[in-house]
Amino acid sequence: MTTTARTTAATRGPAVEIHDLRKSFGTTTALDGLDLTVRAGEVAGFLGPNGAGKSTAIRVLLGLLRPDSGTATLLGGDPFRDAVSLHRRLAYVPGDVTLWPQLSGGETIDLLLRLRGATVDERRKARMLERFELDPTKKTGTYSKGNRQKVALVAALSADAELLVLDEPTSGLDPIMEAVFQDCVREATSRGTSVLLSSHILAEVEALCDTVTIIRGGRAVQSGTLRELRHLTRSKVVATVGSGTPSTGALEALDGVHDLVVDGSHVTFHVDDDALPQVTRALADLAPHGLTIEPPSLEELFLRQYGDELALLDGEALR
Amino acid sequence: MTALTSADPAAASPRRADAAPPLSLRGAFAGTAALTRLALRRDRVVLPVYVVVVLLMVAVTYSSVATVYGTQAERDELTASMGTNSAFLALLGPLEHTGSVASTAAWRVGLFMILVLGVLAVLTVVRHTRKEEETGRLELVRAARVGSLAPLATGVLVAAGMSVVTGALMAAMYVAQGADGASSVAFGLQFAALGLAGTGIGAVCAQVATSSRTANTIGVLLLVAGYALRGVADIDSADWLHWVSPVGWVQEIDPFGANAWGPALLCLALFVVCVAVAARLSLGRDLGAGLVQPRPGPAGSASLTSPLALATRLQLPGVVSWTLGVGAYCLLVGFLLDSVDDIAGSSPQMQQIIAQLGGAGALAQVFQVAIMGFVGIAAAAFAVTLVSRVHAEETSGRTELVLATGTSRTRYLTASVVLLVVGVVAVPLWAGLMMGLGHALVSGGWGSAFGDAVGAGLVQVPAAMVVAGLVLVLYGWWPRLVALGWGAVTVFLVVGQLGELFGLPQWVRDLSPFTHVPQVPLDPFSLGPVLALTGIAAALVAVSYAGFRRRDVGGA
Repeated sequence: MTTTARTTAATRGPAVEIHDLRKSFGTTTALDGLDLTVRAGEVAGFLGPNGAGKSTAIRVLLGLLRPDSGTATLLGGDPFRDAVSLHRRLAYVPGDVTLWPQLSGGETIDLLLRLRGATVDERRKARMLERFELDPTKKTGTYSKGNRQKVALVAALSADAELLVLDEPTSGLDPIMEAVFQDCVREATSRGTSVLLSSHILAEVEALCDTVTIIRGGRAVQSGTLRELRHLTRSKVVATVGSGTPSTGALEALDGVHDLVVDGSHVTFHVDDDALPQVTRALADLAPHGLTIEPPSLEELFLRQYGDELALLDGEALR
Repeated sequence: MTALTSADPAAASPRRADAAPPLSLRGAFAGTAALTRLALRRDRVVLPVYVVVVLLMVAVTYSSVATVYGTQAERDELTASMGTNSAFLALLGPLEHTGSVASTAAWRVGLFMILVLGVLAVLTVVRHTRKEEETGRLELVRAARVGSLAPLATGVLVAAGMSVVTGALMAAMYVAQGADGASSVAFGLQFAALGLAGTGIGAVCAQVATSSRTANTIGVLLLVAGYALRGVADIDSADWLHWVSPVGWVQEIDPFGANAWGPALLCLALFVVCVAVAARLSLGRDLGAGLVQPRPGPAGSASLTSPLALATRLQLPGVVSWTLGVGAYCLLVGFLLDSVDDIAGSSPQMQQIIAQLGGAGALAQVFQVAIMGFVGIAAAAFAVTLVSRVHAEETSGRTELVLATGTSRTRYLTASVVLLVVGVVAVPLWAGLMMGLGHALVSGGWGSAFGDAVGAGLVQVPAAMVVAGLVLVLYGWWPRLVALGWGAVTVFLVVGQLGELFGLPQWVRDLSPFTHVPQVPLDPFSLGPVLALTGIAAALVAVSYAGFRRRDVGGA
């Protein structure tokens, strides 16, 4: 992201602001007091497993669903009341793209662009089709899931938008197309576009997003920049020390050292970030000849939020 | 659908059928029993409805023939009037056996309902083969321990079973009415035979076309063409035309006359050959492929610029086919109009029944009003199909795609409402023009024929729009209840168009908007009820907008 984009972005209000949003369908509660902010110009990751309420939140933002309570603001407007004028400023890619089987891919792209109020820039469209390796003359009924996804992506990325709303946009794409998609999103943000990216592909979120919101049971359980989130959890330390049983008493006595395991010459433990200075000193006394300190991956952060379900799964796996 | 499920290494070569290793037949049919149970489970409503409707139509005709032509003298009169009319010859075949109510009823309804059963067999076999393949469900099924011929075998078993059961029940019903055994069996055999022929034709079509819609169209057209050819044969006495189609063959079975079994064997042979060809085609192709490949479309579009352009692209084919279909029927009715007086004049009961449908007056006009009442119902039914399609757009997620652009809900709904109004006007208008054309061709009275028929058609528009408005209200407020529109159409048909026939009290008949339609050309046109109906329709449409503008779209 360029500095100029950041400055212009800073002068704008947030692209998305959701506060205490609630929505239920019959007896099912889809959103249970959700809070979510996407600041202008940033890429916000929206993480959660299937059924956590991500798509419901996005549909509320698109004015397709009316919330039971709470507030949602999109590009400074009301998602329901100002739907038409807001939609001219954004582009949306649904997670499960269904298209009109009678139309060809190219016709669908042109239609979606024009309905957004954008003019069809043939050169830009042709470049996008080439990058995503999509044949626009095929009827959409004959496309695979990945190709239908590409139709929606090409339509969304072939004209500028202030905000991209992407609901699991790469669920049918191969790794090469995933890379093309990431490049396209970076290009969009360099032009000042804000992005709300719902996903459960953690590598994609880690690569693209400035901030992350983890949603569970219809509410945000964790949100902040990746740095801030990493701070909430511990780094993993693996040290290889000389022969003989290492004396780890000093390490164990330190505050902020957890789960210390000694396995022959390997010492493995987790450490709180603020305890690192003392820990490195204590480690030096052990004279290790191998040492790795890994910050937590997004995957670990995410799994921690769903730890109890994992434990349940582990339990089942053990049986 | 691009996936190949075949594991054989020759799958990539286009002519792999020749290179494919020999298949064990038992393996190819693996899973047929389970798939057939699944098919019967999924069709547990549709199949019995098919069978019952065919039986019921024959039973109803039987009882009306018994009422109107109960005596031999009445039936002899019928031979002299309807039996020599070329329109009836074309539609029903020659009336040769009037010895009993059973034989007369078999002529009156037989050939037509036999054709209907053939069409139902085509639809059934395609539904369980190509439709499954098209939607991708078959891919999942074939990945299990299911042989390559099992889906085809399932479709054929279900459709053939339905045909044979219908034929057997038909024969049993006739025997129960006291008709002679051999003739009853021959009559039932007509149904079973054409059902089997339709099954075979449908099975081949499902292998040839890649979309179920195309497969259905080809199959139904083949049967209808056969029906039309034998009609020509009956008018022109060109007997050889009876032998070119299965519809002609079953006519040659000639129940209550020759009771010949031979032609049924022809149908059976066609069934066997078609199923063998379908199996050969099925083995020689990839999942999802066919002989008729979808053509590539344009790489872009300059014309698809608005929700209305999209709705036109999606809905216009429906508008056109409803209009042309109803129009073709009305053209035939137009040919008949002049002979209505001759036919019915011979039978006081018949006169009474037609008079009941519309009141006193020239019988031809009564007939015209009655038929246009049904055209009004057809226009209303068209409206229900259109709104159901709009609802299907929503459940499939495509409405969401459009509403996430700069398209307002009002504009989105308006696009469909425009197409709906176009269709509801076009169906009776074209029906009137066609009926006028048919009438004018026969009678030579060009001016009044067109005026009467078009007028009788157009007065139906406001009533049909009331039904359309009701369905739109359902869509606007409670989209899951859109199918109730079919209930409304049925209720209005029963209490309106058929209310007098059933002897319903006036206040019940008044519930149908069609009761209030002025009976043009029998009665003079009156503006009051037309304006009132139009006002109600407009109010309903407005209510539907109010709902659609505020409700959840897509939802959970």
